[in-house]
Amino acid sequence: MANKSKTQVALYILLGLMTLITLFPFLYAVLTAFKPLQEMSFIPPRFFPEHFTTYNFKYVWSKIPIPLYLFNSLVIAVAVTSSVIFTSSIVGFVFAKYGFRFKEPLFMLLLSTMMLPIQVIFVPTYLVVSAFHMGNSYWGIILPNAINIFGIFYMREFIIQIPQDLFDAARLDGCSDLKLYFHIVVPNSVPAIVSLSIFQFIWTWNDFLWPLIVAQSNKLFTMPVGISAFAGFYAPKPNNYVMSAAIFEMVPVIIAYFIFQRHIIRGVTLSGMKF
Amino acid sequence: MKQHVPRFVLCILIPTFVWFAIFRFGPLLYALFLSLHKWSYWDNVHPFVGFRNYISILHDNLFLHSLLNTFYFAFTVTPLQIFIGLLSALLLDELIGKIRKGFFRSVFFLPVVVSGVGVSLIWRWLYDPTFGYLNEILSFFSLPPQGWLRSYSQAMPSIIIMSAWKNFGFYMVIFLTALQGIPESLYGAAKIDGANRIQLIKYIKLPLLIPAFTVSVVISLIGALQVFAEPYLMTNGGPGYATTVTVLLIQNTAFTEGNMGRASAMSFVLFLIIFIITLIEIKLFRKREVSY
Repeated sequence: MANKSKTQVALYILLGLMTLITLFPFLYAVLTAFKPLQEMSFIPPRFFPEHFTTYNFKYVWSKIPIPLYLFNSLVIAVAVTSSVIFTSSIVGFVFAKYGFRFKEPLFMLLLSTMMLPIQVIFVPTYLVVSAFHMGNSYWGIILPNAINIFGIFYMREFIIQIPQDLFDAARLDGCSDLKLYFHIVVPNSVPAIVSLSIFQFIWTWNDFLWPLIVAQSNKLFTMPVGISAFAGFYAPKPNNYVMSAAIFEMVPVIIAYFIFQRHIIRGVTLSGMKF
Repeated sequence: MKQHVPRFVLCILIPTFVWFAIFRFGPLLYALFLSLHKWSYWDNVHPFVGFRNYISILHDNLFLHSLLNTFYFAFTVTPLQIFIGLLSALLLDELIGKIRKGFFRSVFFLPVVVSGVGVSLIWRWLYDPTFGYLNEILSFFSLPPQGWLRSYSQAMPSIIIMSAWKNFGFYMVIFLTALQGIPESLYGAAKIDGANRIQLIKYIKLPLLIPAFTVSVVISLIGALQVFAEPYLMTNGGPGYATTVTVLLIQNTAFTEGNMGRASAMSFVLFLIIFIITLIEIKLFRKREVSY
């Protein structure tokens, strides 16, 4: 038994070390965000703020329109998520419960776009969006992300498991296809819909390259784009301000994570989607 | 099963495929089309140039260098984050008690959910060679200060370390789920045969984790080959071109230089690479899957 408790102790030491490494950057960011500007050039740097201040947050709030960026992020994330939920569940339903010609090849064709992320074809996609006069608009950011092939795949896997009897019985009662969708598919796939919503919402919230390209003016900036523009690269802002800005950006996601973490983690486990 | 296509199915599939045609397949073909033309954002005429863009980028040291950087990143971060993810999953699997497991799992998953922008900015500050805290930690262990992101040779490893730190929790969850799927009876049988912990891991857990491993490698490589935000924010491709990855170069070529034709040729090459690597992975790993 002594041997067993020894391995348990070793286990906890290792896990404790990993916890420290995982949390340290966040902790240091928070502490930095409460340090006054003078303390940014301390050599050696100190861990805790010498003079605790909340000025950095006020400074960032006054320098960049955080409410606007939050609003933009929210509008885009809500629009993309609603659209992805609707399209994923209804297309997933079609591929899960209907038999039709060329079903398999059509599904494979859709799945092949998993290898075609917007990150790789953003140049032509941007020109397409511009051709539709959607450059520098919400639509330009939202529409190319309005369908998520991972979502379709995920919902199809889930809907396949809904017992066929439910559909057959409703069909005998004269239910239309759309009614089947609203009265059987949706109520029976609530857990999957919840997981996918949260997953998609956070993914969209964190997305960077696409909104960076489409948003030409800061009126359209999302939180990540706005924060990165504020932080700068060639003339970077002092890090106490940058850390405050980063905290403004990360806090909504962290709060959502603490509320919904079970769903989020299940979202990963059921599909293997990627942020 | 009806053989003709029901109207409802058509009503759903037609708009879906129109969307995919406009926003996925269309742009891919459009990239091919653009890449065969001299297409500058500032000019009105876009003459056909055949494969000249491809020939030019394949002779362009910067493009080849960006591919090497991308491979360097992808093929280093993938084993690293999957190894740490696997290790942490195996460690958590040894833990007794749901609450403890849940605690560590939540902590390790936290960096996965926050944005790449936020953590890149945090690590850029930690890595600062003069005022950053990492060198302070090194000095605590009497180690010499490092250049990190400012050093030509260390910049990419620094980004890799940060990315592995950010992503390992994702792979941990994939492995944990696979571990939960292993039936208790298998362990029971092995224990009766006198197997110890290490043997359990080696002969039961690891072989049964191979499908999860395949999924992880595919997801990780596809994601890592598209890396953008981290080098964009932390080094902007520097110092020199040490961290200029392909997506960063494409973005620069397209939107700073306005050279859409050339950028499209680069995109198409990157797409082909991702496509080929994915096919090879699926082929390679399919053979080794074990079922029970």
